[in-house]
Amino acid sequence: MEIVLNVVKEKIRKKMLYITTVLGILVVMIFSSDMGSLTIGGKNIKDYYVLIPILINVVNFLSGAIALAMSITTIPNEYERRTSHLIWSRGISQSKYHIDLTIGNVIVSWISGIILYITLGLFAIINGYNNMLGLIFVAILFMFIYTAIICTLTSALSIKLPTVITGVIMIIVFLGGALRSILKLMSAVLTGFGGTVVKRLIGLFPDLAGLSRQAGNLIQGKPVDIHVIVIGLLFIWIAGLGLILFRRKEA
Amino acid sequence: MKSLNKKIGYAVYGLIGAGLILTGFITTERGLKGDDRKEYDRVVEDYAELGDMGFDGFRPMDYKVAFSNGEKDFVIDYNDGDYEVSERKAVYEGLVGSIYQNGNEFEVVVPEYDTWIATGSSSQLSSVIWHESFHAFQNTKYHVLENASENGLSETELAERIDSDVEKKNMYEKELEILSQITDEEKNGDAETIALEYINVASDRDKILSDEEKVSEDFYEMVEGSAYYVEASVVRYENGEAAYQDKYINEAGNYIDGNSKYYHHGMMQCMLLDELDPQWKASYNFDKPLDEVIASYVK
Repeated sequence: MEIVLNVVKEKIRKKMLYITTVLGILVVMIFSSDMGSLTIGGKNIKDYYVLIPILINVVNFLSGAIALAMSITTIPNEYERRTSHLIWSRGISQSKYHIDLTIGNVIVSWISGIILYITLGLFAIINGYNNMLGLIFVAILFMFIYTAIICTLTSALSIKLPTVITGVIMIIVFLGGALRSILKLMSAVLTGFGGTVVKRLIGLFPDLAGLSRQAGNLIQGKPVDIHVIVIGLLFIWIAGLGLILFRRKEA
Repeated sequence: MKSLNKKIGYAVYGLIGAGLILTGFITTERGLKGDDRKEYDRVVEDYAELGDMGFDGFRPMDYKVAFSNGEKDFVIDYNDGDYEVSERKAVYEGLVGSIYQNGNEFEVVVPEYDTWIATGSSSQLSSVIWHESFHAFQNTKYHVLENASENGLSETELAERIDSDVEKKNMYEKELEILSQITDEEKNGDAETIALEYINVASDRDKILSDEEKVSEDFYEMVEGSAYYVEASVVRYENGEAAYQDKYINEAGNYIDGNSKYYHHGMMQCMLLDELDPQWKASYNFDKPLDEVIASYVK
């Protein structure tokens, strides 16, 4: 618990966290108020019920970006600063250490995500959609899974791989997951062996777009696909396995 | 003790993983997806209200509908209020909304609902099923493709030719403008005047078209225009007047480069015919251009 709290304390001092959170708040403010308007197919989207799934996508994406940026250096930095040795001397196992560091990052990502969701909730009230408030806060659970996937995958890879390579892989995985629906659509026109390979590869990305879509469905009163949630949790479980099993030689 | 706790921890973690894999397996949709089923059910429900829309014998459920993911087709065969679903290798690869000739039968092939939604299309997938079913009807009952002229151009080639010829383009624009009066409630009371004005411009324009351009335009206006008319009627019923006006009517009178102008043109010809004679569809056999049918009411 001490390690988790230390990570949280350290991360909330990072400028990047505030910049991204403020950016998210601005995006929500601009599109939720009369200051700006979102147009789809040339039409203004004014109905908050229509707007909210789009905003959830943006908010989740920003929370995911925060999760990625924070997680990428956490474990490598700990080893570089030799903090890890102080930990081993206290009899804490490597796997517990990795898990605690990751949990710390997950918590910070959740905090910034919650701030963005509170902003969404406030603008729902301002726009007269008070009845939506409860569902917006339930939808936070989808953001929790979304960011936890990114944090755990990034952390697990960062144990074994150099930071640059982890970064490249995770940016691809993050963008691939967030844009999975679009990639799936683009791949639908591909034919032959190449098309089949591309479709299979897209299937390997975590369905981050699907998670945001389910959150939107929840708020709009549409059916929620449990399968997307289960597969999201499975990604976290697999990455968690990496946190338990992967070891660093320096230790 | 510590080692035992560790073992228990691993066991619990393993159980959680096994539970997730099992739940993932159970919740995986196999075969025809629920959303696809809903779209098909919507077609059946719409038919109960809309019927054949005046086209004698048209019933979308008479044609098998395949929801395709590009690798597999999940084919619905409707039978007396119930339907059977079968699976086969996709007959078309890629993203397709079309008909497919399977022996003597025409079937409808559409993308799965989640792929359709990802296209960002504002139309219901069910309205696409209606559109394609209407093509299956045209071909099953009236053999429109079989009877099509051998001199015909592809839709894209035709559109490119007309789009690049200023005179032909301007006169088609004029035709669309005249026809669009039928969509205006204040003007459509005088359908015969609109028809006469339209036939005059269309006749003048026919003189500058080559034979292949003329037969191709007539064909696409008839085949696609009437299917678009059916589709628009479904959207009007399903999504209401505002959605219908927005998607099908407001822009129909504008010339747009590409294929869509033939859909709009043909749809408005059907609407004009509705005003000239509400029963025109019952005797229409898709054996002559819509222009000819309109002309028969003004001579």
